[in-house]
Parts: sequence; structure tokens; C-alpha cells
Amino acid sequence: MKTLVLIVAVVFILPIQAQELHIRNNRAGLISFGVRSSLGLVNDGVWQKTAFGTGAECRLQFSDRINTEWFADHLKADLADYAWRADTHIGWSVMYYLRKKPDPIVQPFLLAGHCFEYLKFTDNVNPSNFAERWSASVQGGVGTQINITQRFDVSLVAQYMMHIGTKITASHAENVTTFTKSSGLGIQDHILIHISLNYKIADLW
Amino acid sequence: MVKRSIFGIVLLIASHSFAQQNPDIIRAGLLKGDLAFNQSFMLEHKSKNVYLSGFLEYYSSKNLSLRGDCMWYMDSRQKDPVFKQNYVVLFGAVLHKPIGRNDLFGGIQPGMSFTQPVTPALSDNTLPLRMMPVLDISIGYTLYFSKFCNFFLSANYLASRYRGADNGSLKLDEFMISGGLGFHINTIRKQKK
Repeated sequence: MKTLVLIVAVVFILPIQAQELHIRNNRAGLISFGVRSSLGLVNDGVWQKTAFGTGAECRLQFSDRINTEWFADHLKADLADYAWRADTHIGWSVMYYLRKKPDPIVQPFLLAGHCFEYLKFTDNVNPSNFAERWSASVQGGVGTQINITQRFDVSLVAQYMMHIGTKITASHAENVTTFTKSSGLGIQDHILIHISLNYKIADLW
Repeated sequence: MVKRSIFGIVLLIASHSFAQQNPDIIRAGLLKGDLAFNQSFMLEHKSKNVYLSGFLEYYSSKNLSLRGDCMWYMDSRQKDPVFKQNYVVLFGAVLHKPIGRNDLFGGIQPGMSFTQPVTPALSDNTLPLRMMPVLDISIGYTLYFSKFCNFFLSANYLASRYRGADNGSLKLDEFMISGGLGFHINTIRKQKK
């Protein structure tokens, strides 16, 4: 059965993707899939180092100037030289294209949205010493979509993410790493910069 | 100067003659794959690693392809290796500049590695296998010398960090070279003009 599905995919789906993308009426309904590489700049203290991550995204466009982005990414960073953090984001953003022309080579946009984050701090020497939390966040930023071909684009985005949840801080003294979780909700913010490669699969409507 | 000019002219003539022989291999629908060995040079460590790698690549147009790579660390050519295990999975896009049967390419592929470094000599803690984000940038050249076979040369830079070692992260950036025989097939029949 799996072999049959694979054969059908190779014979029918790949040739369809190779053809010119037929756009009906306007750009509403365009769906694309992509991968991205991210940098997270956290500003909670000097012990927080730059995070680096990988992710994937799906874009579904609703009009010539409104697109939506559904994403997941996973970032990791050092906490000084005694611990490390892992951030996993899953969320969505609305993108508003600033130029009226529907498919210019360079298309700047504003974006705003929401995501959920799972954050885990882990001690380098003793992995059983960790702290974790879930949080919700809002994000907003600017980006530029560079349309390399009709189907393919590269996007550069910088956005500010504000996480609302339990605040975790790390400290290290006399070779002991301590993670402290605040009571109640706190705000932890960071800037996320990413480059993404997106490929338009179809015009759904 | 004269030698360079002669080399340039020969390359130009060769590429044009190839183009006349068969200009239609590199086009939308080309599906390509290979299995090869990569020789890597670690930038922060004195280690030269050998990987078994494979990729599958699909051309959505003659200038653009989508490509997925897998790499499996086999061994180091040094006595003291850096890795105990390292597996890399990449996916991204590659831009092409085809000239007849010749194809120059460059691409970007984000991905993940599953990495376990060797435990340092002075440490009591065994470093576990961990999933780490990576980014790969590659350039290369392919010669499509027959209907189903090609020869390729590529160089890539793989940026990677292992988090959670005793004294912070380990920088594991590698420069790799690879080459060999690849296979391809056109999945779309050429349209008659």
C-alpha cells in the first residue's frame, strides 16, 4: 500500500508541481510550505546567549495583501557556561503585504500573531536538574518576501515575541546551578530573526 | 594570463558543444539522487570526519530544486574523534545555473542533527545523544554526461552546536567536500513544440 502511494505521488503529484502555477482570480487560496532557520535574541541577563534553531512553516493566503503563516520551530541556546535552554514554538501570524502589486520581486510585510512556547532550562553537568514551563505569547514584526520564481520565495523576518507565563531565571554559585520559577505570571520577551524558504504548492480556491 | 584565456575559451567551447548535444536534461521534473562519502574538516577541532551521505532532489524548474539530504557519521581519520554518533537530516532549496549539460548550483538547507560527542577525558558525565538545529550552505557542480547518470562535486558548510557539554556548548562546524556518481530521471515527458 505504501509503495502504491509513493508511485502515485511520483507519477501524478510531482508533474503537477513542475507546471506553472495557475492562479485563479487573485492570490487568495495560495498555499505554500517552507523551512526556516532562526536566531533568538533573549534579553533576560548576560547569562542568556543567542539561540539558534530550525523550523517549518505553512502559509495560506486569504487575499492579495493578506497571508497567514503557521509555524513550528525549535531553538537552543547556552545559559552562560553552566546550563542550556531549549525553546519550542508553535503558532501563527497574519502577514500584511505593504505593496499593492501582488507579486513583485521584493514584497515587504508587517506581521502579528500568537504562539505557544515550551521552554526548558537544563543544567550542563546534571541533566536531572531542570526547570520547564509552557507559555502563550504575542508577536509582531516586519519582514521581506523575495520572490525568486513564481512558486519559490525567500523571506527574512524580524519579530518581537512577548511570552506571558511563569518566569524562569538561572544562577550559578559554588558549582551549583539553580533555576528559579516565579509565582504567578511574568513576561519574558525576545527578538526572533529568521530566514525561510517557501514553495507554493497550489491555489486552493 | 594567456593560460587563463585559453582555459576560458576551452570551457566556453566545451559548454556550448555539450549544450548542442543535449540541452534538455536539466528541466522541470528532473529527479536526482545519489549516495556518496563526504570528507569533513572540523573548524574548531583537529578532526577530519567521514560521512556516508545521500540526497534526493527534485527540479521544479531548470533553475530551482527542492532537496533533502541525510548524513551518517562513520568515523574520524584522527585517533581522538569528536563524535561518538552524528546523524544529520537537511531539507531546503537549491538554485541552479545550467549551461548545457553543466550545472552550477548553490543552496541553503536548515535541518536537525542527532549528535553525541565523545565524553571528554577529564569528565565523569557521558554526554547524551541530543537533537540539535543545524544550517547547511552548499555550492557545487554537476555534469550530466548521460541520460541517467551524472558526475557531481560539491562543497558545503554545516553550522552546528552541541548544547549542554560540561563547560558550555561545543562548536561543531564542519566544512565538507563530496563527489561521485549520481543518478537522475526526468519524471515529465518533454513537451513537443
